[in-house]
Amino acid sequence: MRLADRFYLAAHHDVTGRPRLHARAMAYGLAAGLLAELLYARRILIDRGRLAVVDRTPPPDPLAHTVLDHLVTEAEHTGVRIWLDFLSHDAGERVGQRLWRQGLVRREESRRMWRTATVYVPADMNVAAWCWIKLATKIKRAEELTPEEVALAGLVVQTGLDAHVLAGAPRAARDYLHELTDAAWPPLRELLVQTGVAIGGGVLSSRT
Amino acid sequence: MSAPAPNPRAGAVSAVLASNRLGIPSVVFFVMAAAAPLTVVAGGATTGYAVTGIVGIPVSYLAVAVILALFAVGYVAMSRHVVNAGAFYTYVSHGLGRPAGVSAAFVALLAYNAMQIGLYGGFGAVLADYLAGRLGWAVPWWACALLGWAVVGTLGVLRVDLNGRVLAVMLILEIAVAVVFDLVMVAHPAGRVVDFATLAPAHIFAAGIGAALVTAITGFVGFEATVVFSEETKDPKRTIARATYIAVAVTGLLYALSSWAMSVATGPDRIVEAARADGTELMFTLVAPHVGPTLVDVGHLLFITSLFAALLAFHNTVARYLFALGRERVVPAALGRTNPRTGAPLFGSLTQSLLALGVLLGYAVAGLDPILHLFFWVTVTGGLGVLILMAGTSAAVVGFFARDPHEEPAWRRALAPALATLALVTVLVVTIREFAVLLGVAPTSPLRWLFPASYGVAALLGLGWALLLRAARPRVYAAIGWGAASATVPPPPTVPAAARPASHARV
Repeated sequence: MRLADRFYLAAHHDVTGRPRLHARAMAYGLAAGLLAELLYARRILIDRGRLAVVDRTPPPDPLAHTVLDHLVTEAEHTGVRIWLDFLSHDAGERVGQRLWRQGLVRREESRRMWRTATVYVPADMNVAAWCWIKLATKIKRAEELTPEEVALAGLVVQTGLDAHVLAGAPRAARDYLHELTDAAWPPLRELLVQTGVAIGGGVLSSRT
Repeated sequence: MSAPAPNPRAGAVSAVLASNRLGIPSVVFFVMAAAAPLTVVAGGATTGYAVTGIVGIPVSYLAVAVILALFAVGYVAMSRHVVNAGAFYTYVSHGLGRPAGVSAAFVALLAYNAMQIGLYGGFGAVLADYLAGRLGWAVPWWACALLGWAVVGTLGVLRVDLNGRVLAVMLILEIAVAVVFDLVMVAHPAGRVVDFATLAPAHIFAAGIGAALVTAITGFVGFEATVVFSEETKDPKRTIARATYIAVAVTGLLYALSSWAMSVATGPDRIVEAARADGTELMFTLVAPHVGPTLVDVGHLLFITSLFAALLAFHNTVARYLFALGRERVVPAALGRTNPRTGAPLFGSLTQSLLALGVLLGYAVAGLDPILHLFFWVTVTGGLGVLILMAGTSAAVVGFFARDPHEEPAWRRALAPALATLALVTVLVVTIREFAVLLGVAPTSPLRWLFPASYGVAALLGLGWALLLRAARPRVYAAIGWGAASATVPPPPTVPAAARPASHARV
């Protein structure tokens, strides 16, 4: 499963598919997940707040391909923050659809407050729960994480999802989590920091 | 919010980003709701007349609007060049250094808490009066205040900001009611003569004017929040500046018009006496004989909702200040945490609520007067704090641009901020000298020094804390003033222990 998919499932309720995060944290977490996928696929690089495409080879995943296309077409925008802002606009819908195409979620129409919204409900709650329980277990046992798991852990910290993932965990687990993300691969750490700033900025301007 | 016409040459990125950004009306409505026009007109202006005994309140509102517009020139210009632009202490740390910044942060926390908690007095008393008058229920003011407190505390934790459209509709209704009342009062002048005496500029130089000026400033608090949105607007260069000037102009004119209209209806020589007799009811008493009871009722209800909107707005201001400082770790990092589900600055909100509860219970137990001792004394003390902050921020703007002009014209980076600093410091000096008039106490009362001195204590504590951080936690010190973006600040260069001169060795 891809990084943004795992973050999506971790950030939504395993059974109902309801979000565990406020809209802004969810949107920027998913946007950062999409950029991190390209980062790990060595298509882009991030340095001092700037993002550059280093390899235009289309990734096999259609969504990653689309995102890379955007980055290539409008290469005049180099700020990481601009791309986070842009991708956050519909990252939830795009990642939800990718999960749906893989058969990992079902689409359900939900009617709330006179509005119809599409909710992506996990097809298998065990698969959904595994996304975060596996991470939580590894962190609690202070085991070494794979690079992608470090990225997921970073998104969890920056979006505030750690309150859920590490609920009831001892302080040592939290310290280990922060240690991991502080020591992350520098381009990833920059992406994470920018994500946190974007979410925190939303708190200050009450646009969460 | 109206969608802008898509620029045919702009790409998908610009189009998507623009669609999600705020325009001038959204920003104006947001900040004016916090300034709560009807609260100021019906509550602030009337109590100002009553407590200070000064008739120059209307012209003070105009004078303050001019000073604040001047202040806004440099303030808005600087907001384009700093992150975390919503908080005064950011400007002070970038312009006058980090120790001054932390001092400003502590002063701001005290000032905005005072604004918020003081408003509970107004809310409690006005709601209790209304319930007694309309329904015959005898509810003590503090019970009404606690009710408001519970709702504000809950909404604060859930981060249910009042919906933008609801705020806009309420605000327009408030302004409409105030203007209609003003027209009614001016149409029925005392002694059949419309008297402009209370608008005479000569009042500005009269004794006791400091009290009136800070009362006026208190009415504008909240307008400075426009810059919070500097990263969220369609056109950061113009949207924020225009929204700020519009907010200052509209509120300034409305306040002056309304407080003048009241003096026309009573006659300038009787306004103080009438305000002392009727208090926050004055405006409604004056128009009641000429308009139907329904309109007076609507006015009362809007007065209460406007007080509530202001309570919620200032509660959120304090919670966000604590959040920004928590993210910098200047205060415990827990205050920088949010409720993941709602994005509410959780502990910041709870801390503010707890403080407010303590003060409310204290006032209830001591049996103090909610309007005079809580609403007026505490909110004008909050206004004094914001005045100190604005003077400091204005000086910081000068300092900031002196180091790097950032290609701003001289008017914005030097001239206007320097004039604004001069004006604000003058108002500040006059205010502190006449604080006894403002409180309505004897010139020998220790209270006149106690309220202003609390800011001196807060500033000193902030200074001490900043110096402590510099010595003990240089990483935190380096990021002061960066708010949510503090993690982007590179750590300070570390000098190898061996290379450090002995005199600078860490103890």
